[in-house]
Amino acid sequence: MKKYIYIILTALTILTNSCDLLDKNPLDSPNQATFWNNATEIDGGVVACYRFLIEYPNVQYTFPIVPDLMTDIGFPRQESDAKKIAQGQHDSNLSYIYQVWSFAYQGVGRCNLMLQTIESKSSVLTQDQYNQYKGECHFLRAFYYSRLISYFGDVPLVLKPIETVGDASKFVRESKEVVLDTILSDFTIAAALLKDKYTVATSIGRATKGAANAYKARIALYNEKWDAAIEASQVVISSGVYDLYPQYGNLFMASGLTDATIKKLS
Amino acid sequence: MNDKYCLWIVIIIQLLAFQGAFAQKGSTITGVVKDPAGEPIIGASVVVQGLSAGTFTDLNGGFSLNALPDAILKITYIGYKTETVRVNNRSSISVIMTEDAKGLDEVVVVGYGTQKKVNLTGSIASVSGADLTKRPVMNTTSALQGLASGVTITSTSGQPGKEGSTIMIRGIGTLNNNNPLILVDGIVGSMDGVSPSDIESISILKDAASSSVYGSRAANGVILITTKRAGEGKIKIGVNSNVGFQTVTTQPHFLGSIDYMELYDLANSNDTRNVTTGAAGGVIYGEDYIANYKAKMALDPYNYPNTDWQAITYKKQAIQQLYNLTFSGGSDKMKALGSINYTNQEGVFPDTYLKRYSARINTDYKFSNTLSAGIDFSGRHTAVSEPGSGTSAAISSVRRTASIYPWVTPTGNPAYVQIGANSWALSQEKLAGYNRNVYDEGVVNLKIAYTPVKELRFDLSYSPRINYSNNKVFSNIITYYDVDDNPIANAQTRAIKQTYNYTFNDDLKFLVNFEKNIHGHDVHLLGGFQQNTYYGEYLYGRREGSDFSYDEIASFPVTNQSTDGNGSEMALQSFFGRLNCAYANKYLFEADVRYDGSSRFAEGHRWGMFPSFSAGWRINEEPFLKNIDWISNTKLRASWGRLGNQEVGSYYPSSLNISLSQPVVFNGTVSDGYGAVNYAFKDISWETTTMSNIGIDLGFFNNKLAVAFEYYRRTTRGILMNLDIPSYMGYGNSPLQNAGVIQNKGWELNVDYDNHIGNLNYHISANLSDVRNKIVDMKGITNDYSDIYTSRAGYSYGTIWGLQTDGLFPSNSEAKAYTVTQFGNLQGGDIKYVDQKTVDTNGDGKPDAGDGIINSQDYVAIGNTIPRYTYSFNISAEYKKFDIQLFFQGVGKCDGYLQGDLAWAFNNGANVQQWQKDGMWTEGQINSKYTRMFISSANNIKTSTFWLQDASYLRMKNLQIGYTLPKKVLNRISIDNLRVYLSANNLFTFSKMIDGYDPEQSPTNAQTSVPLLRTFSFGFNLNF
Repeated sequence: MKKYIYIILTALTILTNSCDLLDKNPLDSPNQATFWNNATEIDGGVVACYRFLIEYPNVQYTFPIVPDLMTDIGFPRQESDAKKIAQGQHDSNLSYIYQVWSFAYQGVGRCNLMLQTIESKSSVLTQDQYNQYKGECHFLRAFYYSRLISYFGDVPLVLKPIETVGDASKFVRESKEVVLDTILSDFTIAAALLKDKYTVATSIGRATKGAANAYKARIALYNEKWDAAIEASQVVISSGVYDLYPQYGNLFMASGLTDATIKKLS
Repeated sequence: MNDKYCLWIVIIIQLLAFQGAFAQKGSTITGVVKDPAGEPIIGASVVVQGLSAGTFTDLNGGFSLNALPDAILKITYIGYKTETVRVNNRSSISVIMTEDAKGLDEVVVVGYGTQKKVNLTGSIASVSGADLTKRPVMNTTSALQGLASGVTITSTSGQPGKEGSTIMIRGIGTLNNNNPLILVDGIVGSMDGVSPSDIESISILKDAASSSVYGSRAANGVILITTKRAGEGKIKIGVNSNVGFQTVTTQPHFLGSIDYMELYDLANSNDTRNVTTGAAGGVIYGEDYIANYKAKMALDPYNYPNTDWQAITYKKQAIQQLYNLTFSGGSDKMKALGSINYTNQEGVFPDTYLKRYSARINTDYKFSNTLSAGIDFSGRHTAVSEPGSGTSAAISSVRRTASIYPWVTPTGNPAYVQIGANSWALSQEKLAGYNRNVYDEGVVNLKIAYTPVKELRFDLSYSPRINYSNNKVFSNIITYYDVDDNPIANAQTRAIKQTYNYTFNDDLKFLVNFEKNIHGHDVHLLGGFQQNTYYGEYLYGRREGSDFSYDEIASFPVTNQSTDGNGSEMALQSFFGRLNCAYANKYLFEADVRYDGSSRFAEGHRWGMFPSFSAGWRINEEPFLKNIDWISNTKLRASWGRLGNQEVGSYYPSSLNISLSQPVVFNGTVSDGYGAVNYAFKDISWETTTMSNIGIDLGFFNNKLAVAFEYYRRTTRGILMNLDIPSYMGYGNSPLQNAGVIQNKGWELNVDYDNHIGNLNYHISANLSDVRNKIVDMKGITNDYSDIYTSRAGYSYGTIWGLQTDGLFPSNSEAKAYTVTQFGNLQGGDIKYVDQKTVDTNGDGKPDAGDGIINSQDYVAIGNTIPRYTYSFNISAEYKKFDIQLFFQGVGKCDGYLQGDLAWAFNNGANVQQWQKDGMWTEGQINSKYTRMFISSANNIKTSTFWLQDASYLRMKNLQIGYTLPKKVLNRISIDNLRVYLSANNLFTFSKMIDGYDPEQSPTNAQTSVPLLRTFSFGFNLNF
């Protein structure tokens, strides 16, 4: 009988030693479960949220130039989906419309994922990093939703990562008003968290307090939220960080192109 | 079979040593034991019933022993029915033993064990090693073709080592991997990894009841290969040898230059026909040119070539050799079997070959009555080579290049070909370079068995397996010359590419068996645990542009180099159990369960439970059937079970990978960005297959005639498919989801008949099976018809979709008058398509009229390339020392689809074939085999029933005639057995395919693959 017990014990030992044997992750790349362990990784995740600032993969025109091409303001010489829309030839299969929609939501998705990650991994971040990353994600999410409501009106309002098709199926188009409220509040949160300017050279160009307020003012303006537009604009004006370019006409000249003051402000 | 004889002789002689002295009163009885052919049976056991006393027959089949005048003698010999003879005061007795082809004690290998065949409740096809080696083939997969019902084996090519064989058990169950699980002595392996002469038996587990003990990997069926092991006794030596030559079964008949030019002119004049007047257009070559060409062709083949590319490129025949040497033997404490195999198969395509060396050592050790062990080792080295960057480019050139182009210049340089390519140059290793694969495998199997008491047995085994492969591709610059030997074009770049692949598989297994008869119930319990791990990696390197022909990476410049490499892991853990219960040999019951975990799936979704139940009723054991003599066996079987499939391509299907290359530019500097690009669902899991099976086994006239019939239903759910997700989930890809449903329904019929007429023993076995496949659900995915084979819900997997043909237009005027819009301008000899009813004119909701235009709405399911009604029959007979075997195999219903260069003359600059010329449309015809001649026609090349071929066939797969030398002669030179034979594979075929096409090779493959082979060979089996 002792022998059986030994054998069974041996078998059990083998089993218990290999309980985590089935936890396998790719060897060539990180995944959601193994990544986001330090500030560098999280910083990269936030950087990747900026990748959808262009509206459509591989196009030379970006918002708001593209909408002009769909109207009689602009006319692209080459064949393009935007031109088709201008000519009224578009149908539900037009890839441009789907791509703009999809691209904006990919940006929203990344922001949602990073917002969640920043909260759960806040311990590896300094307070400054935490504020900046969170602010950037709120800014970008509001930026992408601004594009979505400008193009499509009512859109599904996704504020957390969706993990299953079942969860996804519960979403419906939210009224533009509600989405706009979220956009304004996202910009407000971003403005509160973000810095006035960056000192590290490689960070210049990332979202600032001024950018958050300026974009907030713009989407408010587009949607006739005059009070919010005035308020946000006022903050930018009175911040003392920005000036109007003194010689407006130079903006369209070669000299304006190389003017150091413009570069500094951008 | 003869191995077994020898084995038993040895065992019996051993036993004899233990017999000791026996004292018994009685008289000496002498006798002789012979087989039905009158040959003495050597080593048969002759025992006096009720006593332990006994003896064995000598070299002449004679025996002599002491027995009482009223004693009963029992004579036994493996493979023969036991004879009991009353002495009845005789002093000399002659016994003729009859062969017992289907012993009731026949044991079949099942999952993690063996079982008596009569007690099986599931559906298992069993093939003995003897049946496999009867038909000399280069690999085990082709040896299995036709031997088991419900198992469809197809191959795409006759190229050594690249046959492209697929094994399909009971239809296509998933849109993903359909390969069955193959276990060699319980370890995952490959069919062709085992030499046919090393195989003791193959069991094919077809239904859920027999295979659910393998759970998550068993959805496509399981093939269990058991290798030979040594018996006790003197060392035995077996030598098997086979040498033969191969030729192609058939190939398309291409026409020569004169036909080519004449028909090209005809095609051109058709294509350029005046639309309004209908007048034929101009020609390219013209009669004068052709007449001049014809006159000079024989004298100046370099300027006026008439090249038969097939004859120049292919070898007439290719040699194959197969050798096997086996040593085996041992004592009751230790037994060993060692075998070495060597295979060398040259291809009919130049510079293609397969060389395989394999060795196996199976050893058994017995430490005590309770403890035994075994260590097995098998190793293999295979080299497969082909010229250039692969044969497919060269073969498609053979099938395409017109005969008006030369293959060689007067000084022997490869000639320049304007349209197509010089397939001769591409097929020569010295000109084109080579593509060589080396596969090495090493498997060790360590086993310990402990049997503390008779009823209980523990088994522990550990088997690591290492596979290593190296692919080396060296491509050379081929310079082509004009007729004056001026180099005018270069093909290929000189480059070298090497890929190393290494995999390590680990298999750990623990089994507990308990077997006991409890109150008339034979109970057998099995419990077990198994763990498999896999690690694989590859490394790839490439360089190009060397000025020299040294075929090593180091000899190439470092510019233009590239490397790649990756690794992956996988693990499986499983618990399983089985309960077998038999009551009174009549009522049989079996329950299996497997609980499987796979690392491919995320936590919470990785474990799956796969149960099965089966029952059998041996009705002939009931009193009401027991007395009916002519019915010797009646068994009803039924089973139900669930199986899984985890082979979904990727090792990490549910891993949401983060891409590390998502950079963004800030202030003119690139900042690294990281983000997930492709979504992966965490909740995906196994594809599950549910299968029900009912079967009946019947035996008549003492099992001389045996009939088995089965019907099954197999439904796979949760087939992993790439489906679109809402974009607002934040990803643009279509991740895998458990979604699709595929159903297979089928039946199988096996009939065996054994009898003898005097000295002629014969055995006839036949099987016929069918499976109907249907995709039940594809979640609304409707593929377009850009691919000929399109999977759509409601239809069989891989259905051919196309237009229905309504013959050809008999004349230009009729074509012009046709009101339905087809494709381009029509003329006589163009294909007329059926305008399917797609418009509802009377508003009853049913379409009742065509829309007047032929487009994708008129596409219908027109055929399927999955073979249906597959059958085979095998007739073998023995007369005295001669044996003959005829093995036929066929497919009752199957479609083949001709397209591209093979279907359309001049397509893409292609050649023209005999059947196209013979079948060409002429004025007034509507049913010719080929359309009007055309160089390009948008109308005629649409997928349609016109190009559909009936690919059903009946093929004589193997004919073999053998002669066994008489034992009396052999024994004098200490040879136990020697059989010599002549064998022919694929001797002839009945088929409705166009002459030149092999129905077994789908036309799609015929375009770029080596034709299938006919083989004639001579061999011998020798045992010392």
